Amino acid sequence: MKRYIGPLGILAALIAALAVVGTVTAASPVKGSFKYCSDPTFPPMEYKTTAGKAIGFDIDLANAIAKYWKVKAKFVQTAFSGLLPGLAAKRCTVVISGIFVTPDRVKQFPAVSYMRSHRALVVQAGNPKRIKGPNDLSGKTVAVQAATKYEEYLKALNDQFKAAGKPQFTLQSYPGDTDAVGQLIVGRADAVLTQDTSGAFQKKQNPGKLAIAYLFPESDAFGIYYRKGDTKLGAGLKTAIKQLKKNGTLRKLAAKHQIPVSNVK
Amino acid sequence: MLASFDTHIFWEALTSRPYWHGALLALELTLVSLAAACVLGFFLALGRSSRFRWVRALVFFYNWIFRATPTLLQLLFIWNGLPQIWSTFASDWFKPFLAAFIALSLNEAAYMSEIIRAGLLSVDPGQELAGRALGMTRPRILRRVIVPQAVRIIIPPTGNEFITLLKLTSLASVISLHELLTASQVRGAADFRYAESYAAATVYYLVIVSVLMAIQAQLERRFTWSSAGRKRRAPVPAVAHDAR
Amino acid sequence: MNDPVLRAAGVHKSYDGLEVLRGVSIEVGRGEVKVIIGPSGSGKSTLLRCLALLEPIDSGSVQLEGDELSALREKELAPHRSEVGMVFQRFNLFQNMTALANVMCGLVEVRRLKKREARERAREFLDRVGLADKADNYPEELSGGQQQRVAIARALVMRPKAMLFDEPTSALDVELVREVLDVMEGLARDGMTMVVVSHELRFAHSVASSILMMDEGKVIEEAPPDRFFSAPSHERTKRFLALVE
Repeated sequence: MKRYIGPLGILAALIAALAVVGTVTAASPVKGSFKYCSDPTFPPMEYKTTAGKAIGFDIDLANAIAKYWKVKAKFVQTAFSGLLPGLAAKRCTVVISGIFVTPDRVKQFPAVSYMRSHRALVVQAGNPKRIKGPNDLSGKTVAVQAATKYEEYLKALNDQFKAAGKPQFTLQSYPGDTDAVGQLIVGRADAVLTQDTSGAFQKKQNPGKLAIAYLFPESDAFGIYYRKGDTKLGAGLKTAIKQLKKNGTLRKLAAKHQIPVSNVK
Repeated sequence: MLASFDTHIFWEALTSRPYWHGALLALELTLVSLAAACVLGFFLALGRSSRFRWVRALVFFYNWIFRATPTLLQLLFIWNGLPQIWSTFASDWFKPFLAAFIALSLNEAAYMSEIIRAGLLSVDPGQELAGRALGMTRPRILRRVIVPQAVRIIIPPTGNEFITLLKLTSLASVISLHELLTASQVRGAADFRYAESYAAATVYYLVIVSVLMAIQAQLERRFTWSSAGRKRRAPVPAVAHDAR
Repeated sequence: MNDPVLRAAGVHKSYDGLEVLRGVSIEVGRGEVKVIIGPSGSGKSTLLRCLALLEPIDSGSVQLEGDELSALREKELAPHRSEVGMVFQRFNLFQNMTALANVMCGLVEVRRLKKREARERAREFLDRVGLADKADNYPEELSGGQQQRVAIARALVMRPKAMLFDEPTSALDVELVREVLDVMEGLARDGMTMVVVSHELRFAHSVASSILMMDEGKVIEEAPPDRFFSAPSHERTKRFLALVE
């Protein structure tokens, strides 16, 4: 017996060491918890229940990442136009808010993409203004969430119309994506430019009132933004997303929020 | 840290069209809303001392509702609530400027009515008595004697209300009025130079308020009734009003 | 023209349930100067305001040259008020107008005179009260005595049928009283019909046609000055005079 204590002890120590190493591979780049900024006016990515609780794909994603890192995720509500300023001001560690990865944004803040989707033109059910594509927006009233890429695109489109001698559309901008869709429901706007995720959600929420008139062929990537200096965080995020995709978590979350599973490949 | 403030970008924002237009729009909205509020407020003030009980009650309710609810709520109600009740408010003719004008005028009238009422009350009752003794009718006395004297009292608090109203116009950014605040937000979102974008907007607000203060000082001097010398009078204290 | 210029007969008036005038009668003939004295609360000022048609009465009558005016409504009363001039204890000059503009005001706003004509007439009356050089001054720049004289000019310029004075010198510093009384004495000499509420007994003695004593809402005695001061018949009159002398 005495002859085996030595090797057994070494074996036990090895196993213990391996266990420790095993957990170190899912090491968290943050300690204890991290804050993420999000604007809950963009269902189904993030929105609020009537009771005021924030829910959505991005909230679930943040919690999934936190679980993977064995820490806690804290939701920091921020208006869309204040997301990246808030990140810069260190009010949060990351931004997870259905926000596109674009070259000009990435120049200031790196991002890790986690989902692709298409832009959509949402209209009133029955498409009374016969909007089949962006060119049909000429002369109409279009609502959009303020300070988004959607607004930038629409402004450029309006300039194109002007240059081509076509009547421009009235562009109205609102704080939330839901507010813009609200103008459709109220009858003031003819179309809203938003994401297919939001369009599908709103259509389901307001049965018989809305329709998706057009789906843009190009797709955009949603990304998690973080500050330039946080390289460890960036690496950690990339790993986490890769893992969550691999082990099917993202697919499950997409299905839960009625997002086409192909979006999270 | 100051090294991160690009004065070139600041200057470019300051002189850009959206800012200039936005500032003019904010000023325009402030002026027309204040004018309408003064007119409506004058009648509300008179109504407070009406002989008829129902008139007094009506005015009381009006002031109560518009002072007790946040201006933003009133604005959103008019923009989003009205079309739900009456679909004509969803049409093109009902523009954000018009909606903001209506909301701000109605709101401000409630505050102006209190200021004007205090001004009218501050005029010595002997003035009206003397006017009646001369054979003047009440409307004439109001016009020639009481209102001019009341105006002197209401100039300082009205100047205050102008400033408040100017800042309230920024609320209209949420109903898609592309005024000064909107310009700064859009600019900031475009290239993330937030400090420069907001600083440029600040300059415009400061300039407008400074011009107002100069005009107010001139007006106060004009309503000082002593001849050529126009000696300095003790400043009339502004009537306190509720914060928004 | 047999009617007295001003007449109040059996006037009753109450404020908030308190009876202030309990059946007061007074007649003022053309050119007469009647001075009313009495303790405070006796109703003197109220009577004056009723005579000036500034207050409605509960019962009785107020007549101006025989016309019954107490029953008229507010709108119809206004033009008649301009025919009775009123001078107040606290002057009540319009603060936002110069002395000249004050005197012009009634002519322009009530008599609808053209500004030029009104200005001329106003200057004339300012001169009459000795204040032609103060035409462009504002009330706050004038002494009490000057303000009261402007107030008198303001009422006089309307060529009223009678002038009423409600304690015109009570709010003045002692040294300023004389200038106002001089103006009033001049008016009396010129034959103006006047009713004056005042404590200035020497003025009353020299100028009044008769003196009335009021107490507790009634006229308790009326007599020409000599008799009033030397041999008052009423006990309360005697007591009051003893206090005031």
